[in-house]
Amino acid sequence: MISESYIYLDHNASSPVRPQVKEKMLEILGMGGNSSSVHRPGRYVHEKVDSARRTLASFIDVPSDDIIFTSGGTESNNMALNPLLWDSIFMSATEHESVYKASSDPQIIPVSKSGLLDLEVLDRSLSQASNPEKTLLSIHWANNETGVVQPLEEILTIAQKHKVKVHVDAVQVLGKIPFSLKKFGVDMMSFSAHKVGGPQGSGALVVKKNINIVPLLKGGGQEKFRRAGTENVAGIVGFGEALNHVDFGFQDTLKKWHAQMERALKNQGGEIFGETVPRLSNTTCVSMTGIPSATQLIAFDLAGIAVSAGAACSSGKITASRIIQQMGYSKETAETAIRISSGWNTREEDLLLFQKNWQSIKVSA
Amino acid sequence: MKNPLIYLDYQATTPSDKRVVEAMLPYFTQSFGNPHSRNHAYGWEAEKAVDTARAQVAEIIGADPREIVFTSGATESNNLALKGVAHFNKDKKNHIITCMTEHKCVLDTCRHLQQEGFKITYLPVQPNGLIRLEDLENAITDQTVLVSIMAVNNEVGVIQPLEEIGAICRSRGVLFHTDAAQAVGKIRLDVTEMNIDLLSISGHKIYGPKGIGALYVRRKPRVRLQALIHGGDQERGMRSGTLPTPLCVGLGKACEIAKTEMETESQRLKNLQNIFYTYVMKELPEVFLNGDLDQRIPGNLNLSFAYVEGEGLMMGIKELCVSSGSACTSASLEPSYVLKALGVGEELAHTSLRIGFGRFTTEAEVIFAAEKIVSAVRKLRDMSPLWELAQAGVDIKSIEWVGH
Repeated sequence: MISESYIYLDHNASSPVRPQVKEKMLEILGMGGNSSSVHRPGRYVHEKVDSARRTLASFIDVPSDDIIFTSGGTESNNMALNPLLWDSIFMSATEHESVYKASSDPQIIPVSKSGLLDLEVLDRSLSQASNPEKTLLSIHWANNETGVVQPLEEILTIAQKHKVKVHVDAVQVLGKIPFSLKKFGVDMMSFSAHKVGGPQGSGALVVKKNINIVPLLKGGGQEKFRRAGTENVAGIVGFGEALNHVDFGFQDTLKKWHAQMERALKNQGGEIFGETVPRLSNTTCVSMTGIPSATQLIAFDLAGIAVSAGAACSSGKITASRIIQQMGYSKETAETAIRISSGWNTREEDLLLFQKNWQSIKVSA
Repeated sequence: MKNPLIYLDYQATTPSDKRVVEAMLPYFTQSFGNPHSRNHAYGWEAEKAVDTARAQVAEIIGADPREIVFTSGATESNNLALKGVAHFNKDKKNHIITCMTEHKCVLDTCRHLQQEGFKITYLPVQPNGLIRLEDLENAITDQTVLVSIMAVNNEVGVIQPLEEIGAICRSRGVLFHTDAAQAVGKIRLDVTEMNIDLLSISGHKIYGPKGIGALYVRRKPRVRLQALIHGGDQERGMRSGTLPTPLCVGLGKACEIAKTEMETESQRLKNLQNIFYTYVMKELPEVFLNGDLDQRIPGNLNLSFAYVEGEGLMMGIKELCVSSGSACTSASLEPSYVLKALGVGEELAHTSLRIGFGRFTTEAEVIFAAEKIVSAVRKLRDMSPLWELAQAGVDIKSIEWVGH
């Protein structure tokens, strides 16, 4: 088991489950009941699923019927980008891999050095869409590596002008920025539970009624025939419960702590990616010139701090971040970047300790 | 939830075993890392736990851990096996063989592949629920890429002759996939001896959690398939998405327990099945067992009670959680397509009950359930004019009904 004093600053990879969430899930786990069965245990868990659906629906302000529970953000993104639905797919250069690779032939809209989507190119590109009804724009609302938040309303205005459909990967936004989906002209939106203090293996895709979604998984009639498979009841209940504990006020506190830390890192020569543009309150991506991120991470691990270089995907080796290179930085710079992402159990002293260690790693290298 | 309810629907889902839940707990709030985080201890702890689980899953089917791909459940495993193999080989071969009593997710996926231009053969089954091996041999052509036959049926519990099917497929150079959601932990499975190339596993059918399953994909000779879910290339590119560590651990533990306890548990369930079946058959005439009695998992009975109305019967046995048909479709009143494929007439299909016994079923519960069902059937038959006519020797089928 990991020492209690180890500091976890990798919430964008996965956030620990909140204790209250675990409690609610435990009740469900030890219980029989298939949510599709008509007997009492079946109806009981069915009601639990419905209740979580209502929680998510009111949290993001959409009708409950628009929510499809999935196995997580990756599945949600793949469902939204299903090639059977679209003739052409546009996306930003800094999408998550699960969007980037879900389409075999995406048209890429570049981002500026600050990480923001180039709206002029977007406008021009979408104007060439030959069949807007079958054209999808997929936007990573907030990037998992840099925390850069795209100007969603401006992007949506452009998309609406060209009448294309829009999918938003909001995995990193849920619980960090309050919003009402009703007010947006968004057709689909992806979410993941384990980035908001819920369990891994649980997520959702919101699909507006105008989209005739094609199921990725076929079989039983679960989720109104949009996603087959016995519902992961405990996972869904945990997702709903996690939303009950979201504290947007705490995001302001995190923002203050991160700003304070970033000032100190900059004074020591660190470069903050996306520094001048809106970013998630909990995310800082910083380079340490000349020192490979792998070296930094080993030093941080020895100091008892978990941070990461880029996304936590599967390759097993640390490669230069694709996202940072797409922002126009050299491979050398990208190779020295690490990400600090805090969350619901982060304390101010955790970030201060990180900062202290960053400085000493830099000096000793 | 109010008690006492007797849960006899173990083919729909099972409660997680307490030992499974215990094993999962540390991975929610202590070792909660993303198992794909390669640069800190949280990631390593989670990865280690996933590796152990992978080995436990491999062990129960005689596979190598590297042949296990974690998925969100058997529905996804079946979708991945069928679409994955079909799409990967679409330029070479375009024919798939399955059978009429497969789980809905296999049949629906096949229908979808049919729309894409693949040819699908749906093998019939004999009245006992088993396929005929010669039908399979005759159906294989040089265009056949895959045979998908379930190990154990979810409604009638019959066990298909996997070893023989595997031998035929291997000798004809065709891949063999089996949906083993209802078989794992209940019958002995060995992917090598049975020549199985792909095998689907579900967590929540074996006292593990919902939302997790696995697909076994043979390495030697290597089975290639196209992924269904793309992204971070986890699971060697066959299934992207963050692995849910606690769920993987739960599935692994469930497999370990099932393997250790299979022999004694099978004996115990066989005994319970016997008690129930003997009692009901002794007390009631005109009761029919659907599916073979011997080629069947011990935890399942599927019985049709002639001259009673299915819905009425369900209402009369409210304390018993049983099902008519499978859970996925039980909200609809359509008679089961599985029973239809066995040749069960519509009347009898409408009065069928699936009774599933499992790890937490006691002998007292089984006796109570059997008595309850017998008395409910008797009561309904006493009120039934058809039963009265039948008792008087009238052949109901010979009556010509006149519409008013």
